[in-house]
Amino acid sequence: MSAFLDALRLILSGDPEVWQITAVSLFVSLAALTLATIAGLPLGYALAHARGAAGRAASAVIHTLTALPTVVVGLLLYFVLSASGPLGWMDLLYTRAAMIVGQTVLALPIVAALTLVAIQRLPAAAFETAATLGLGRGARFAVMLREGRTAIISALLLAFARVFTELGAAVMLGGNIRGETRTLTTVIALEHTKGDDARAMALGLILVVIALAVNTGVHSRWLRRPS
Amino acid sequence: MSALLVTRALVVGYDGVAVTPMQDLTVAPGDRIVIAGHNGSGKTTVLKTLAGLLPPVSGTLTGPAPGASGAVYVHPTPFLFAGTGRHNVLLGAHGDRAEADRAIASLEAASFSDADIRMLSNGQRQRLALARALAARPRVLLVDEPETGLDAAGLDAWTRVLADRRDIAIIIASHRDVPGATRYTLGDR
Repeated sequence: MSAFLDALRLILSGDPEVWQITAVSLFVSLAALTLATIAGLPLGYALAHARGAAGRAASAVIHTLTALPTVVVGLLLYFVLSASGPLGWMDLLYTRAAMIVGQTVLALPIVAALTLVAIQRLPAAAFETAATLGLGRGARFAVMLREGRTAIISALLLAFARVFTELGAAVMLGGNIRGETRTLTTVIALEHTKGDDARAMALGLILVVIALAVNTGVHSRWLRRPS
Repeated sequence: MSALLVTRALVVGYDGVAVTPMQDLTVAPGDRIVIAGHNGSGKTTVLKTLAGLLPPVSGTLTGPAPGASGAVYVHPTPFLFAGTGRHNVLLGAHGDRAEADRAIASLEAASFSDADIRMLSNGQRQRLALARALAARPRVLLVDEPETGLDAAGLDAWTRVLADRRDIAIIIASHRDVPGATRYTLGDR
């Protein structure tokens, strides 16, 4: 309880480092979510239309990738981005860009797999109507996403939750550098190992409050049942 | 007048499995054709095949491609995309507002076209689906049981479309007779 009260005091004190860490967390996660959305929506839509054994295999693979452990993604990308790795020349390791890449890899399968399911669950009449009206590819994509919007918005929320709360990729690719790549989760882990549980708790509280605010805002705006 | 749509020894069905054979059809602009038959006789399958939404099981079908300025099909329980009725008709008109307005007016749907589709009755949805199909400027319009849900005003508007739009061939699946229409009954072959 005292740790919780200490946490509240820390938040209310307006510690600039706490807010800087929060800002980095939000920046990295929202950038990754944006990239995953740009790639994942068309990928999921295309997979929903894939037929035959190849389509089933692609669907199984994208669903399996949703369960990739964050630390495994972090490790794989570490080898890719490290100086001796194939993309070492880009000098991205231990930067926010590397963290964004890692979180995009984590979010992309969620966005694509749940978009695939959302599109597949639309009634056949939706596709027939789009076809009979002669809608072009872009228009069909737009109207089908709109039809599946409730499930797709839920997918984006889930993807945001996945990356905003992950630790493995952030710490392995960002390096937890003060003022640069520290995020709420990496600092929670760090402060706990240092024994400063009040600070860890404060950051955890901020993380939960942001997740709650995002979910509440999105639910009240887009996922509310029609009255 | 040259034929818009011609079928010869056409057999329709799903996934290569025959549902029903058809009498040969030759459809010209302005024609009114009623496809009749008992429930389950394959009227919807025939219309979807003629609209290019299903491939024929066998036989030949020559007609306009599905889509704007081609063959447009309207479901018996129309599917409207999320948004307003006008949004749907604009989709049919491919963004041509004047065409959308004309189509909405022809079905006398202006008073409810700006409402969210979730607020509409079945009859209002049916009128907007018909307006959306007309807005696509079809050469062949295929309508599956258009009377479903239409109230008296909707039926009047639809009857006027049938009478006035002689530039379009209209093929209807229905149990009812349409004045001046040629009637084909499935299973009569």
